Amino acid sequence: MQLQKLLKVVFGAIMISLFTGCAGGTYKLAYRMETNQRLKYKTSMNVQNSMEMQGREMTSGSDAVSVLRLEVEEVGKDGNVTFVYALDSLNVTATTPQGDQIFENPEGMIGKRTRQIMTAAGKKLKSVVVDSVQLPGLLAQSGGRRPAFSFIELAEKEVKAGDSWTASTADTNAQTGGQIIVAANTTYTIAGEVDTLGYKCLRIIYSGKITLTGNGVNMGMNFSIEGEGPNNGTAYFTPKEGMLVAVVGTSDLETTIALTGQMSMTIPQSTASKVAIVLVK
Amino acid sequence: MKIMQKTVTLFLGIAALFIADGSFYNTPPREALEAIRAGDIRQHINFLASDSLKGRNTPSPEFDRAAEYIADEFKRYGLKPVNGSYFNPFNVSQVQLGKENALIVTTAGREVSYSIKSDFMPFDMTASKDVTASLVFAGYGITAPEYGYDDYAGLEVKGKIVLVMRHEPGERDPASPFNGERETDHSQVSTKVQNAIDRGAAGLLVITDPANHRSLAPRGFPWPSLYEGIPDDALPLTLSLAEKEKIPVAQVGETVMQQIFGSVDTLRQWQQQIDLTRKPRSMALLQVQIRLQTTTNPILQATRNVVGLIEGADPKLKTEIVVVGAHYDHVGYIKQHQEGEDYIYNGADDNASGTSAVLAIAKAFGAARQKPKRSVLLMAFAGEEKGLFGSRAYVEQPLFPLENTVAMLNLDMVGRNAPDSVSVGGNTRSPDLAKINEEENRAVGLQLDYSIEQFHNRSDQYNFARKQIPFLFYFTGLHADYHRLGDHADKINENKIAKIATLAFRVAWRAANTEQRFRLVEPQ
Repeated sequence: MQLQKLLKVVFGAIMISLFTGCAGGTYKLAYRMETNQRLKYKTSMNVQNSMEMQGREMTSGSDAVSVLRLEVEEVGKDGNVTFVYALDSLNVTATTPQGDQIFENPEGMIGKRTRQIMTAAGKKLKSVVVDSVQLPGLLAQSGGRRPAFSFIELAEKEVKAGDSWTASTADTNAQTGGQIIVAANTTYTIAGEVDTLGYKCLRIIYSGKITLTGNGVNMGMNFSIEGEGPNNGTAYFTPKEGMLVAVVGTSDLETTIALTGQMSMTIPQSTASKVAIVLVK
Repeated sequence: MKIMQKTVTLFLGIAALFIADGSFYNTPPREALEAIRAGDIRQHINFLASDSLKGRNTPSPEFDRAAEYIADEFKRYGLKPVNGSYFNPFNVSQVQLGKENALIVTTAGREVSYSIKSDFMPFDMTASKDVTASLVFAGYGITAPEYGYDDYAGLEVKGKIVLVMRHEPGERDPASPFNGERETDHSQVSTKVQNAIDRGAAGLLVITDPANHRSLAPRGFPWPSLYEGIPDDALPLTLSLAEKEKIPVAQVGETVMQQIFGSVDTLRQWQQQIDLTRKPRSMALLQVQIRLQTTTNPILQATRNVVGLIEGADPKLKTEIVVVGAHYDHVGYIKQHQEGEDYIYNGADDNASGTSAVLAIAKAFGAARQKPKRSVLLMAFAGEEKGLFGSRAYVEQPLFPLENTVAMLNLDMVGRNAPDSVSVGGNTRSPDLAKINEEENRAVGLQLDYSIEQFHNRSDQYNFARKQIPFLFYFTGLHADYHRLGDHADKINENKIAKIATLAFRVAWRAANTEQRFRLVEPQ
């Protein structure tokens, strides 16, 4: 369960903000992509997890480095963007109570594509699995899921330095015998301009809250999940090229997992994560 | 005739020497060894892991049937009841949060009443008590003589409310004397609670150590009644201890931390200083008054360990006890299941195998014409799967004084994997017993493996080790059927169990026939 969350944080929390060009210090934000355009991001993620079962605290941690490849298939007249994404590489070092594990480019995950359609403002309209994934060892045993990410929704109106906007998302993730809803409410603020990695970037501070609810039946046991926590960070975006250059962020989730059936258990879990995303191509 | 007389005299002389130097007692009697039979073990497993016992969940009617079976076998083998019974009863409970819970902090005349869940959260081991007292900061709340560290050194906490941080010094430091980055038992909240109780504290507040952790939310125990999406029946079963042995315990969050210390940074600096110097920074915070009230509503259920005694033959040593035990519970069955599908967690390896080994060892002791010098207590523990409850209940309220309990042998999951090997835990912590085990294994011929330190706190030997009792733990490893429906009797190797039972019996026999007190040491 904790690794499932790890994956969710590793991939789900990859927030890519893309903005269109500006005039007179104001920016009209929209995704501006071209058919056949390719982007690559290197993502580094550190996750520290602690859960308490039967009065004993168990801690685990992981460091994951991945390269995500994104290819635009089509940009519609309405501005909707269809793209596929997949991992080019993934290296995970995990420390768990069961021992340490290293995953280097697991065959069942690399290059496995997902197709997504979103509006010009970044609202996800559809997500379709193209290639099925096979999770390796510990990830599979702990109920891990396929990698997934979403773009954030952008402001609909023109914005300038100091302006804020709020975006709310709710993703329903199907689980074996149930579902988990991950909802995020995030406020973005343009904090200024800064040169980053050779680009003239907008520095966009974000802060918000993630909530997690879900339930289902797995192996004859009912499970319920409830949690929440802050999600904060800074995104660096070049309005001229309309690309995200970097993101640095943290999130801290306090979650309760409840099991009923042949065994009753209430498990508190804390997950602290740090993420850094850098445009590499 | 003369020659015959000489021969007899010589034989008697050798026998006398044999007895005088203790060798007689060091050699397990043949009739005892012959009593350990794979066929008996197969019979026990077939019953204990049968569908009729529905996975031996603690507590359940089927679990009670397993207890009766074990008690009957003990009786049949000639073991004696203890205090007139083969049962060692204790209570478990589902503990609901009561309605009256309060945390009021007064500093410099400023009184603040805090809210449950957002500011403070009682732990599940909390008492139903209302206490008001001044506050004492006791660092990490750790007393660890093995590391030369004591947060309570020179600190008077009797009748006070103690505030401690989670975890331990140098939690993220590979060079930390507290086992590097791998946490020790001292980092567990339950250990800190017990330490505070032992020192007479009236209550305990726990805070997240801010130098190593960003989230300072008051996690405590997530009581279902405080969450919309968490059902009440998710409350776990807990070992029910007498209220007098408990104190109110709650975790407090950032708001409370700020009032007590002025800022989180102050506490963070104190923690960094402790981590850097490895020296406690405990102190009475006399200007801080706390009122802490927590209430719980336990729903009690009775369950029981099974016990049988082989009384020692030596008038002096018979008061000393060697415990040989295994848990006999498993995790029950799936209530929501389709007709015709397997739904019972039979727990053949976990732990009908260990229970059957204990029955075989009981039979061997019962069959021995000469009883050992020390007494031997055979035990089948309840509630291991719920959190080592049976062994914890026993060591908290033992039938025989723990200071006279010289050794504990635990058998948990001993019937699967390679036919001639067994993993032995406790070899570094209990070097004397480990040496005996190696010596006795020469006659048994099992391949011994010692790489199971990570399982130290996952079976019943742990509670005996906590009470400074030397132990060995026999285990044949995890497998694909561990805690799954496929842990069936037909996958068990009864011949292997018989070998392991023979080894454990030989070690128990040796341990029960010496005046030697065995050492328990911290592993390096």
